[in-house]
Amino acid sequence: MLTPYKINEYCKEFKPEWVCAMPVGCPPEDVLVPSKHPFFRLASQRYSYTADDFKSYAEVDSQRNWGEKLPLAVGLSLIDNETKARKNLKLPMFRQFKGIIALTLNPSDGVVKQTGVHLSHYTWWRTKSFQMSNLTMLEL
Amino acid sequence: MRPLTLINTLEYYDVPQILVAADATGTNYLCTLYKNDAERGYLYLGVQISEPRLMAFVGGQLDLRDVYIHPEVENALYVVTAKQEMLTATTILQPQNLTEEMLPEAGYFYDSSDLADEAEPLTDTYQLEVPAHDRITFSTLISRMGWRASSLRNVLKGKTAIL
Repeated sequence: MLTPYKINEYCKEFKPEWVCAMPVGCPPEDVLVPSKHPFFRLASQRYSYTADDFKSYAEVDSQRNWGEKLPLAVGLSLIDNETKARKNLKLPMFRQFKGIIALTLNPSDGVVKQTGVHLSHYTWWRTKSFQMSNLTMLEL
Repeated sequence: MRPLTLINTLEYYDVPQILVAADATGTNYLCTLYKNDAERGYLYLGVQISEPRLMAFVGGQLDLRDVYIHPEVENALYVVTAKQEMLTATTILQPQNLTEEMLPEAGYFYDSSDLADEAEPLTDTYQLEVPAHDRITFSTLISRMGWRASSLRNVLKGKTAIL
């Protein structure tokens, strides 16, 4: 389930500690707070995942001037549709990825917002509370 | 080196994965990301593409891999770089020089069924007068091209075919 929140209400209630310094206006004012909500993220290996799979582009490419795109670059892409996640593995950049991580997010894990061109795509601003252990890799 | 202007992002995951750009003459380029290069920026495989073929792809009628394997004209394939908000068509590629790392796997058909409202692909609206006896041919064409018939119903009146 995803519940609409104002980011200041979320911060007041859950006191998040973000994984990186958030730029001004990020996360955005209107966000969604997940509660036992399933998502999928692509992984660089087929049968396991590493902390690198949860690095944002802003972390990977920290020297780049992201400009207006910084709020998205400090977040992580998630897909809430398994079929769509599997289909994305056909694209050239994703062919280097071999796996799909299934996540179930809760309020303490951060906030999300639908971004990008498809309704199934979300940006996730992650907190340090998110536990990377015991995540499931989908069978491909 | 040919500067391009971003027209539309069709697929986004962490960064734009598939986008449409145009050059100064209005020629469309369908660009698919294949590499993040430290020096050159994001590298896209770009192909010059006609409007009907682009619409066929956006409508889910055309495999993305086929768009690149079988370009419509010679010298249509380019490496397109994206760096600091600048899109540039650089090297011309020949189909035989394409590598697997540049290409999507077979079977990627664009899905526009779950597009966010503000992310609708660019569309044009036409008012057509189609003779009633061409109704079946016309409806077949609409279906094959993946066009939205609902928007056409509104303009087909009077002596024209109502689908």
